[in-house]
Amino acid sequence: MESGVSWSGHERNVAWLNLERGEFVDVSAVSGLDHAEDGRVALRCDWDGDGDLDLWLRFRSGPTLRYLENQADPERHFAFDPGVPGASVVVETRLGEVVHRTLLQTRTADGYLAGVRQRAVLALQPNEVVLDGAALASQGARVVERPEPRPALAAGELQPVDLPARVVLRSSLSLPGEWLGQMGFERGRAQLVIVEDPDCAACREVLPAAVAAVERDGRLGLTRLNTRNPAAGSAVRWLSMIATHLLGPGAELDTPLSLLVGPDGRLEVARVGDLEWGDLSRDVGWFGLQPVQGAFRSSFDPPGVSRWFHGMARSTAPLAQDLLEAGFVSESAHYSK
Amino acid sequence: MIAPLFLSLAAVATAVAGPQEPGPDRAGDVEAFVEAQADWIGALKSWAEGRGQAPFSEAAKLTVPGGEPSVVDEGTVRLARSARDGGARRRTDAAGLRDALLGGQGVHDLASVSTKVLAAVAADGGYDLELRFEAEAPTEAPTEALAKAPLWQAVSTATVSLRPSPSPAAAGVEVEEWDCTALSVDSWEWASRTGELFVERTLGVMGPDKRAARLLGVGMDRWAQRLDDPSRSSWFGHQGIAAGDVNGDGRPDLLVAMPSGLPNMLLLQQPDGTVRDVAREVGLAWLDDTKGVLLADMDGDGRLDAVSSLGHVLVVQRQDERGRFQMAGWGVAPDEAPFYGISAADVDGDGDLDLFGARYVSTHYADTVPVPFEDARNGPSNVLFRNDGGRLVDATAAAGLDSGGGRFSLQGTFGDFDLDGDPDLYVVNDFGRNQLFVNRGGQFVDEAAAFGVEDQGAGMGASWSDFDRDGDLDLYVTNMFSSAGRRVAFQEGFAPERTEEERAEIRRLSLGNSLFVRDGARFVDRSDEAGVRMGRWAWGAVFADLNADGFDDLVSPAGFLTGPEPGDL
Repeated sequence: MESGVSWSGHERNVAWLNLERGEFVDVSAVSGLDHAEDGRVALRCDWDGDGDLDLWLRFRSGPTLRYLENQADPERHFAFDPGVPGASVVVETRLGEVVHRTLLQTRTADGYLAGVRQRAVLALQPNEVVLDGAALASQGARVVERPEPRPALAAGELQPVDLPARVVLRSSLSLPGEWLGQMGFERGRAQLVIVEDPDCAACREVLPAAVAAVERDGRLGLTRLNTRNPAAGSAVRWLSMIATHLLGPGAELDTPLSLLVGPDGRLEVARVGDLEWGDLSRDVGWFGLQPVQGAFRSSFDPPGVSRWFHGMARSTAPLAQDLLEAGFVSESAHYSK
Repeated sequence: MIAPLFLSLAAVATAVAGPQEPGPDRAGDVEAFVEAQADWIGALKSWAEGRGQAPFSEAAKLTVPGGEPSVVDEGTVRLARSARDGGARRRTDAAGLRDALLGGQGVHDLASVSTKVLAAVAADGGYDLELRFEAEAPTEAPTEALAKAPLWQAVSTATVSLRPSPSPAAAGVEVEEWDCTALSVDSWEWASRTGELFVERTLGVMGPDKRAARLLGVGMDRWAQRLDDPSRSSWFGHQGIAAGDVNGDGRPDLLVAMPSGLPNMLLLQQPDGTVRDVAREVGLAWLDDTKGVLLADMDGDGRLDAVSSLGHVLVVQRQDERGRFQMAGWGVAPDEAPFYGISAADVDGDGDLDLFGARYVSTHYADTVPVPFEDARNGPSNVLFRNDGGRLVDATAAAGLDSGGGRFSLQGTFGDFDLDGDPDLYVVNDFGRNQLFVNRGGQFVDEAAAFGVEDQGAGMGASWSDFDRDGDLDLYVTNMFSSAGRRVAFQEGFAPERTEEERAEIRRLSLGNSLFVRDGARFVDRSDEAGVRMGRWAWGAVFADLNADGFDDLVSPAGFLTGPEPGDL
């Protein structure tokens, strides 16, 4: 993981070619399918319609989706497309003296988490002949000649995007009044709380412009907490603890840490590093939403574009437990409710 | 508490064995010995790479497989494999041994080699180590000639006999020097290619849709720092995909599941092969954590509909004549443990598709502990939903699919393996025996044991195919492979307090993937003969004809939670 945690070592995907005698040979490296990211799903389908099976692969780490275009391009292939999953056909073919009886079935799922289309494909070797094609045609099967190739798309993988750690809470988090008081919060006005460190180069780079923009805009109150200031120590610690819960232990909590508190005293957004005004301004826009629109927001799209089915609120129980153990709240206080 | 899933198999093997007394054949001793041989194994690797001296003397007995190797030459791809049974083994010299380690094709130039210790067995006062070698052409060719040479790779296994050095040592003094008295290459395989088998064109396909490319270009580690996802669903990467021709234009499209907080996508293939995400327009952009997805005609109107596993609910959306996906119904699991793999088939023969959802752990990984680890029955139940005119009715018990308890299932895959016209179901279980439910007129009976496919490994996925083209279905199942687990659990003194049956079950956990070949009335495990065991921490392997020769090959995704640095095979 980003912080260097590794549960199982470095494990590449594996591919084997069938030697036709019940034996396989490892071709992971020479096929280019030995991706180092954590592979999960392989889905085969003739994506480009040329008769060979292309692959869509899904990963946990790195780019999470890859399309691998098969270059085999057979002259002809046998397509079985009955229109329903669960259908079977046995294709008898002859290649020289050898006769194969190949069972093809259509289904809706294969492997793990891979939903497949209903068409089954069998590539034919150059001199391979399908026997009794007329009977097979009555079952929705046919031999297809190689189609005209279409212009090749650009080769390459998706480019990673450097995303700073930032969480938009899908259901905002109520903060105790005592803490709001420490932050100089005024009810009815949103507040930006920034935790900064004098030795932090990123703080020096990003904060001046962001602070100037906040002050110009005038919609936000502003609190700056210096990690070196003993008076701010307690607030810095509980803010950091909350941010850790939101951003996860994989996130390296660093400064500047910023938290956006809505006009009703509820924590809406937490972020580490980058504090670009345009991005921040969009977050401030959350507060103008109706509660229904604003609740259960996406982490990526503008509000209202996508939707939740469950709309499950975040549980504060683990956070409350940590805050209790650290002595920041008492059992009767806010987060134990 | 850390969920058992997170433990390495070596740790699991040690944990289930309990504390062990020091002494011969104990796992700790063997592991210490293997650890102590790191320098020697490193020297052997360097020698195989063409650097350094051989770390064995001329007195060592060197042997390689005899007999005729299997060779397939398809022009751009050349494959070779040593004779299956090793033939009549033959003595060789150091050069011949190195040739066999590097795939038996006379490649004696520079190579890049990795090694792994698969087993260590006490023998004759010393140890026999089973080593796996993976070799390939150097990443950067040092000469122009090598740069133009075909790309190649080789995999071999070898047994090394290490015995106490005969150097004078007083009786009772611990032996610290070891000699390699014999080195035997047990098998080798080779592959080379001059042309491309696959070209990655994700950039070209996704390029025009910058938003979709941005969403999918970011790994889950980074997303985990941006999603308000208390169950940490994004960490584990269990998000599926489904392909199907959604808009009837003859081109397949792709439905992509995303973790909690990120919208699912429907990538509609355009005439030029690029895609455009239309999920928001058509109503499929759910933000809930989504694992399994399907594109299937659930209402029989000829258009593909969508099924999404949103937590513990399977949501069915019917595609209308305008291409929009309308809510048609949903099936709710008996508790909040989410669905993982889902699949559809007409199990009751009434002409419409029914849904099967596999369930694994509760919402939070660490809340569910499989007991016993190697044969758990305390997991969430799987669910069969009968499609009753669009209404999903829980038919799990009525169909007999509730038998055997919850085994922490990840996927159920339908296939009519007995060719009686109805779909049978193979369920893959992480912490228990897999199940082969034979459909007998709508009633499912688990006959996995009778058919020889219980495969009590840490199962992740399964794929059906007639890979040998003999007219029946064979089965490939993914499990975990752990060399450390193999070393520890296969020691003679492993877990003495357990029964032999229990030890065998624990040992099975580290063996790797399984290839079951239909052979008459049963399936026969041909994994080792076929050479397809070592899929590492394997997930969704599928049969796929990679080189378009009509014979299905295999591709097996691997890896769980790994860091960015390489360092293991």
